[in-house]
Amino acid sequence: MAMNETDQGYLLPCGRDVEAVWDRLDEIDAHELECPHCLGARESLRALRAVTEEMSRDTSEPSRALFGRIMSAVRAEVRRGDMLPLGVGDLGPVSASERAIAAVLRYAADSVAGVRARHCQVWASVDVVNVELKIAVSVEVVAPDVVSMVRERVTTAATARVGMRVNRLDVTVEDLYDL
Amino acid sequence: MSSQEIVEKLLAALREVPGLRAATPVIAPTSPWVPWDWDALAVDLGAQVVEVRVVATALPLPPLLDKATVMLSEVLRQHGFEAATLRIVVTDLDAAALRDETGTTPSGT
Amino acid sequence: MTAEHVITKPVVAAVAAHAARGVAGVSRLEAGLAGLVGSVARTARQRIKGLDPAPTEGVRVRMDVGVRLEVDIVTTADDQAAAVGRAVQRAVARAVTNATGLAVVEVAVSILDIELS
Repeated sequence: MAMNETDQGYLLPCGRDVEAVWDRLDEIDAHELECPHCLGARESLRALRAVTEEMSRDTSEPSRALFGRIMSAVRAEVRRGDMLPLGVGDLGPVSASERAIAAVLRYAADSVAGVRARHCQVWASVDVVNVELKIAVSVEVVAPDVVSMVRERVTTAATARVGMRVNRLDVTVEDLYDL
Repeated sequence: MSSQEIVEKLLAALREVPGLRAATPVIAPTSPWVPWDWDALAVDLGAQVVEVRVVATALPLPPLLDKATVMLSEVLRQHGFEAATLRIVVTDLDAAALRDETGTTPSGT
Repeated sequence: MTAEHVITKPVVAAVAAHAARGVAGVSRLEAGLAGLVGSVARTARQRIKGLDPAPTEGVRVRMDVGVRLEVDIVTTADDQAAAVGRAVQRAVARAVTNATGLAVVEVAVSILDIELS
């Protein structure tokens, strides 16, 4: 099922990689001191490390599998911090993680030939979602045409895959690339 | 009749209810010779409240609890506990209770 | 003679977790940190003789006036997340009420991840 947002692994909204935060848990840099995403992740990771040290004393589970479960749990905790509402019914709210939604929309944009989707951020406004998407476009395609297709695919994905209506969709071509 | 004997009768009545089982705590045995019935630890026999702790191995619970209530109340009435409140606490659910529904066993994490 | 029936949280959570897992479009429940820490709780649950505790990871239960649940899920690539969320709410409420006789007030569903493919 593994879901990697980028080749580097799982990125926090500030752009830092969770696995890098884990590696450097006992040091801290200027960015992390100020960044709520990193501070939240560090706190979760430190709690996790304490628990797993205890667990690995108790269990014989191979450390690779345990590490996988830990990272899955950490990603889940980070995501809990930023949830967007998908609706409220008789039985209460359904919400989804901002990172999960952004990944779905980014994936949809990426599916357009000649496009490499980069950063995607979403935020909710009442019943709708606003999207900010940054892409790189191949020199071999006509930029306005692909941007148009990206807009279409992202809007469709928001409705069909997530269940949200797109209010604002800003697509910025921030780079060109050679194939 | 001693408390221990009443508890034994309660446990015997409970055994007549398929789907519920006394919530007997596991205690690391210090010797193979067990001088008393560990199941009795699932029952608190008080003058005001008689509490019986069970785990469920079947669903749905309401008919099982109703049956257990009938059987346990009968024992209590026969031994002078008609004024007490009978409290049945379902403390946990065995995976087997869910297996029957779909035919597949739920797996842990 | 007065009789009381008490149904504890692990029972409700186990029924809910089973129901949620069975909903089409649910890839799995997400236990998160509480789930890893909860392996300690699971060990405690196993201290009842002969009990194979039904899993409860990914579900939190509160019992005020009526039962309130929180369910954390990961949805599959083929389904609309919001619709799956609503289906989980209905399935969990129905299963818990059928299994325990308790009224369910709320099933708050959090979709923590959506599979891409």
